[in-house]
Amino acid sequence: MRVDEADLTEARMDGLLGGSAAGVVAVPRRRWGRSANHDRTAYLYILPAFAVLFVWQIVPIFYVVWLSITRGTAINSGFVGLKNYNDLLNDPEVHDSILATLKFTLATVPAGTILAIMIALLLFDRLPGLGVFRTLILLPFVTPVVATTIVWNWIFNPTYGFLDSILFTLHLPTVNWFFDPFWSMFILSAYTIWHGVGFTAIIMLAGLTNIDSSVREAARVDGAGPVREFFSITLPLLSPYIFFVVVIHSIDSFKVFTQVLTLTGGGPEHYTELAGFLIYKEAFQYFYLDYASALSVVVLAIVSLGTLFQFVAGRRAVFAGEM
Amino acid sequence: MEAIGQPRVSVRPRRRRVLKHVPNVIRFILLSLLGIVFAFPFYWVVLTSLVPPDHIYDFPPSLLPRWNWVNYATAWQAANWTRYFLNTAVICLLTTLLTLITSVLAGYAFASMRFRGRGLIFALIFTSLIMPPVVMIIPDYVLAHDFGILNTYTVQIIPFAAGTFGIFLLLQFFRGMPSELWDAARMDGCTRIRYLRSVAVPLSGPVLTTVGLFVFLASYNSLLWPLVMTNGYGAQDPGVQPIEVGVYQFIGENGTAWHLLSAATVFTTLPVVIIFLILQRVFVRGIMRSGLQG
Repeated sequence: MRVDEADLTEARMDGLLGGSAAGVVAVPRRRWGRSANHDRTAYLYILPAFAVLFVWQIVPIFYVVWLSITRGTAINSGFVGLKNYNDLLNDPEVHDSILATLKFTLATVPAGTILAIMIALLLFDRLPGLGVFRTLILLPFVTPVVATTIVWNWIFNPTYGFLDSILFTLHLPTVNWFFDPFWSMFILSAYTIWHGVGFTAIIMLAGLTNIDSSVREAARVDGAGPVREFFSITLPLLSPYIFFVVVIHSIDSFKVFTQVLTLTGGGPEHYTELAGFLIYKEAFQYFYLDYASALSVVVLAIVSLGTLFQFVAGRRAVFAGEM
Repeated sequence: MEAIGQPRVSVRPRRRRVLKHVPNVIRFILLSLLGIVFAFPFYWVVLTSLVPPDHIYDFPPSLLPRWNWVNYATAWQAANWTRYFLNTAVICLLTTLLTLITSVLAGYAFASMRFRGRGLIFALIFTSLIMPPVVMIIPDYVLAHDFGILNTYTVQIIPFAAGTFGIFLLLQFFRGMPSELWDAARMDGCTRIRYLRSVAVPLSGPVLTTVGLFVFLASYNSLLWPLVMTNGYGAQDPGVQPIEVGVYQFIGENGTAWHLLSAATVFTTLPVVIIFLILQRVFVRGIMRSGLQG
C-alpha cells in the first residue's frame, strides 16, 4: 500500500519534470529507488525540523513585509502601502540608530577580531596553565547577558563603582560613564567584545591548528622571522576563518539587543540605541507594530546585502590567501 | 663570541635553552594579564555579593572577600526564584530534547537519503541561519498571538525545537559514518528508523552532547523572546517566565541595591557556569566545528 502511493507520487513528479528529461533519467533512478538510496520517507524525517523553521523563521520574512504595509496591530485593518517607509526616511531617531549600529560594528568587529587572533596565537602552543586561561576567556561567552551586565553597570557606576574609585584614589577626574555618549558606546562595545571574543578566539585557534606545520617550517628554513611568518603564512591561511568571523559578527551587530537594554538603555538620549533595540522599543514599548515592522524589513535588507557583499568580496580574499 | 673553543661549546646550548623559554614567559605574562581582565567582573560580583549591606558604598572598596552570606538570603526571598528556576528547567530541557530529535532526523535524511527538492529545502533551512531574531520577533509575536499561545511554555519551546547548527553538525557526523554499517543492518532487514535508533544515535553521543549544550545555553540565556512572549504577575508570581526575565525584573525592582543584585547574579548564573566547567571540552570542540563550516 505504501509502495503504491510512493510510486504514484513519483509518477506525478516525473510528469511535472517533463517527458524527455524524465524519460532519460527515470530508468537509473528506478534502480536507485530500489537500492534504498532514493527515499521519499526522507520528507518525513525532515518534516519536524522543517515545519518549525518554516513557521517561525521563514514565514516571518514575508509576514514582516506584510505587517509593514498594513495599518494597526490587527490583520486586514487596511493597506497603507509605503507610508511607514516614508516615515522611516524622515525619522531622525532611525537615522541615529543606523548610525549607532554602524559605529558599534566598527568598534567591535575589527578590534574583536584582532584581539581574538592575538588570544589564539597566545593559546596556540603548549604552556602550563593553558586550560585555565582558555576557561577564563570563554567564561563570559556562556554566562547570561542580563546577569553579567549587572556587574559591568556596577563597575562603571558613577562615583561608587570600581573604576571611578580608582580614578578618585589616583586624584584623576572621575567620569559619569553612562551620561557620556562616547563612553556609553565604548562600554557597550567593550562589553560585547569581552562577552564574545572567547568564541572568536576558539574559531581562530581551530584555524591555526589546521595550518600545516610543514608550511611554517618551510618558511622558517627560508629565513622568515616570526613577524614575516605571521604576515606571509599565518594570516593568509587564516583568512577563511577571519572572513567567517567578520561576517558573523557584522550580522550580530544588528542582532544585539539585551546588552543595550540592560547596560545603557539606549542612552544617553538615543546615542546607543542600536537598530535591534529600536525595533523592540517601537514595537513593544510604543506598540507601533507596523512601523517597527518596516524598520525590521530595513534591517533585514541591510543584513542580507552586507552578507552578500562580504561573501563576494571575502571569497576573493580567501582564494587569494589559499594560492 | 670570539672566545676560545672550550667555553663556546658549553655556553651556546645553555643560552639557546634560556632564549627558548623567553617567548613562553612573555606569553604567560600576557595571558595572565588577559585572564585577570576577563575574570575581574566575576571576581567583583562575588565580592560585592558578600559585602554587608551597610558597607556597599565603602570608599575605597575592599578588594578582599568578607564572607557575609546574608545578601543571598535576602535576594532569594525577594522573588519567587524557585518558580523561575522550575520554568527555566522545563523550557531548557524540553527545547534541548526536541532539538536533538528534530536535528537527528533531518541531519540523517540530508546525510544519507536522496530525494527531490533536497537542495531547495537545504537552502531554505540555511536562510534561517542569517535571519536576526530581532527582525523575526514582531511577525513571530503576531503569529503566536494568532495561535493563542502567548504566555505559555509552548511558545518558549516549540519555535526553538529545531536549529540549523544541530542539523549541520549531525549531517556532517552521519555523512562520516561508514556506509558498511547501514549496508549490514539493511541485510539483516533493519528499517531506517530502527537503524537510526539502535546504531546511529548511540554512536553519536559526543555530537549530541555538543548540540545539546549549545541549545541548552542559548535557551537559558535568552531574554528578548520570553520578555516579549510572556508576562508574569510580579516577582512573586512569575507565571511561565524563565530565570533571565526574573533577573531583569529583579533589576527593575532593586535598582541600586548592588549587593542584592550581585547575589542574584551569582546564584542565577551558577548553573550555566557549572555545566560549562563540566562540559568545557565538548564546548570548545563545538565552536571549532562551527568555525570549520565557514
